[in-house]
Amino acid sequence: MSDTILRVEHLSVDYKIKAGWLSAVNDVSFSIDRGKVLALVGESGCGKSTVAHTIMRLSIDHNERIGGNIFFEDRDLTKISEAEMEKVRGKHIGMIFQNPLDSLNPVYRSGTQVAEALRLDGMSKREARERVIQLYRDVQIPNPEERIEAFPHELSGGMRQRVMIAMMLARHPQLLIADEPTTALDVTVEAQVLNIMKEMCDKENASVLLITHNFGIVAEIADRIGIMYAGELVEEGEVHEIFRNPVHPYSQALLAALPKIKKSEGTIRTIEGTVPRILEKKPECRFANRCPYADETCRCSSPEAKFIEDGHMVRCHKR
Amino acid sequence: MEPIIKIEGLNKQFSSSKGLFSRKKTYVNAVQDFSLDIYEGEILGLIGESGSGKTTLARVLLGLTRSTGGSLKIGGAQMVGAGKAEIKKARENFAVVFQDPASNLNPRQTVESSIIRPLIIRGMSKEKAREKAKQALSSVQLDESYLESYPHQLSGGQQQRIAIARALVMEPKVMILDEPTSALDISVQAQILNLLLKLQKEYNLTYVIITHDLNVIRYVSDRIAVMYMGRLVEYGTIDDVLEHPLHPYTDILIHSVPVSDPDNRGGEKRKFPGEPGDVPEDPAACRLAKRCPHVTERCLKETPPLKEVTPGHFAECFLV
Repeated sequence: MSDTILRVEHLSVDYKIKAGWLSAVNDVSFSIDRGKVLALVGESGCGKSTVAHTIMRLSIDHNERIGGNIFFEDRDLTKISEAEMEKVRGKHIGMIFQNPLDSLNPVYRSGTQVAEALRLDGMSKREARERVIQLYRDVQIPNPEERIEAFPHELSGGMRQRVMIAMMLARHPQLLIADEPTTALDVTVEAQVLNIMKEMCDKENASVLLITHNFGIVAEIADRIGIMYAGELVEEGEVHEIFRNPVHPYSQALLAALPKIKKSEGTIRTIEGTVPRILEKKPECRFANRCPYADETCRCSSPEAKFIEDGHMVRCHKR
Repeated sequence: MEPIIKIEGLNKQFSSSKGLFSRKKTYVNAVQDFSLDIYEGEILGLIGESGSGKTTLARVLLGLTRSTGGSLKIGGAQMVGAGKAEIKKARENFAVVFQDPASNLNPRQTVESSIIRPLIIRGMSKEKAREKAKQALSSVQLDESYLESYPHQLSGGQQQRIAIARALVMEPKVMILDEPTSALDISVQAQILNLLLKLQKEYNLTYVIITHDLNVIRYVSDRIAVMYMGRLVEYGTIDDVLEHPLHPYTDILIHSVPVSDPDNRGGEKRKFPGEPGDVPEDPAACRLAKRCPHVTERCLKETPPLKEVTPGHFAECFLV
C-alpha cells in the first residue's frame, strides 16, 4: 500500500458566470500522506473551499468545468460514477464544515443523526446506540447517555462541532476534510475541539485536509501547509520550513501581516491592492499587480510550480 | 486626570418569562458590578468570549440600552437615570463601528448619503456635509469617487473604511469598535488596524475595542479589560495582563490561543474543565468556581473583591 492517501493533480475549477468563465481554482497539485495533516491557507475567495468541495464532489451542477485528477488511494475520483462516489463520501472521506448548525438536522435528535451513519453500515439499532454513546465519550461530551437525546439547538456551539466530529469518525474514514472547523467557536472551546480532533485522528491514523485562514491553528497541528492565492497554490511545504522561510512574496506578506507584536514594537505590514477576479486565463502571475518584485516577465507569463528543495514547492518567477 | 468615562458598579439585567403565559421570570445578569475608568486618548481592549457581556456593556455605554443599576458618568455627567435629552447630548461624544461592515450600511443608499445623513440630522447644510464627507473619506484613505458607490460594490475592507469614515464625521471623542476586523481577511485586517491607530493619534480619540482576538488586542491597545460571565475579572496594561496574568481565567484564555509558531507547538497548555455556561447556582459564588482549576471552599460561597495587586493591575480572585 502506498503511503500517499490523496493526490490532487493539476486540478482546475471554472464557474460559468454571465461574463464568461471565472477561474476559481487553477492547476493545483498536492498530496497528503497517511496520518498527516495538510493545511490549505489563504484569504476569502482564494479557492481553498472549492478544492475541498471538488474533492468531495459536492458542487456538481452544470455551471462548472473541472479539469485534472484527484487520486484517492489510487482511484481517480473524477472518473467514478455518482453511485460509487456516494460510497466514498462519509465511509472513506469524512467532512466537517464551519457551522455545525447548518450540517445538523434541527428536527432530529443529535444521537439519531450520528447513529444514522452507522446504520448505513448495517449495524443494529441497539449496537448503534452503544457505539454513539462511546463516540460521544471519545469526543468528551459530558453525560453522553443524556446528550444523545438532545436536539441540535439544545447544544452549545463547541458541543455541536464535537457531535459533527463524532459523526464523521463513526465510520472510520481514512481522510478527513475540515473546512474552517473552529472558526465559529470561542478560543477556549477552539483549543478543546482542536485537541479532540487531533487526538482522534492520531488514534485512527487518519489524514486531514484542513482548510483555514488561522495561522495559529496551522502552526499548532499541521504537518504541511499550502498557501493559496487567487485560485492557485503559490507555495507548499513542510510547516516549520514555510513559517521560518516563506519564499513566495505573497506568503511573506501574509505572514508579516499577522498581528504578533505590540504597537510600541512597530507596525505590521499590509498588502496593498485587492485580489483580482480571474475571468480570462492570461499568461501572467496572478499576484503581479500587488507584488513588490513584479517585472515584465511576471506580467506576461505564468510562473510554473517548481521545487526549490525537496518537498518545498513555490510558484514564482523570481525564486 | 479625570476619566472621560467613569463606570461604577454597573449592572445590566435581562429578564425573560419562563414560558409563554408564565408570570415567573428568570433573570440573566449580562453585566454585573462592573467598575472601570476610561481615560481620554487611550485604547482600551475589552476581551471575553461569547456571552461574557462585552457587547451589552458597549450598548449601555452608547445609551442603546439602559443599565439596571450602578453609575455611569460620561464627561462628568451621570447617565443612569438621566433624561432623554441628556443621554442624547452625551451620545454626541460617541461613535460606533460594528463587526459586519455590510449590515452597517444601508444597501439602498450611496456611500455619500450614508455619511452625510447624521450631519444633516444635526442641522448641517448639504454642501458643508458633502465637504466633510470628502474629508472623512480621504482620512480613511479612499478617494472621492467612492461617494457615489453603493455598499455592494465595495469589498469588505472598503465597507469597513466607510463605516469608520461615517463614525469620524461626527467628530466623536470616543469610538466604540465592536469586533472591527473579525469579518476581514488577514491582509485587510492589517490595513484597518493600522488605519485605526493612525486616526487615533491624529484626532486624539479614545477607543474601546471589543474583540475576542488576543493578537489584535495586543497590537492595538494600551490597557486590557477581561470579562467573564458579565464580570470584569482582570484589567491592567497589556504587559501586565498578557505577560503576568493574575486571574485563572485570563491565564487559561491566553494559553488557549494557538501560537503562530510551529517551533513552539504543544507549548504550555491549560486545561479548561467543564463547558461554557457552567456557573454556580449560588449567585454569591465566584462565576468561575465550577471550572476553575484552583477552586477553594470560599470561592463557592462568596464573590472575590476586585483587588489592585500592583499599581494599575486589578484582578478579582481570592488567590491574588
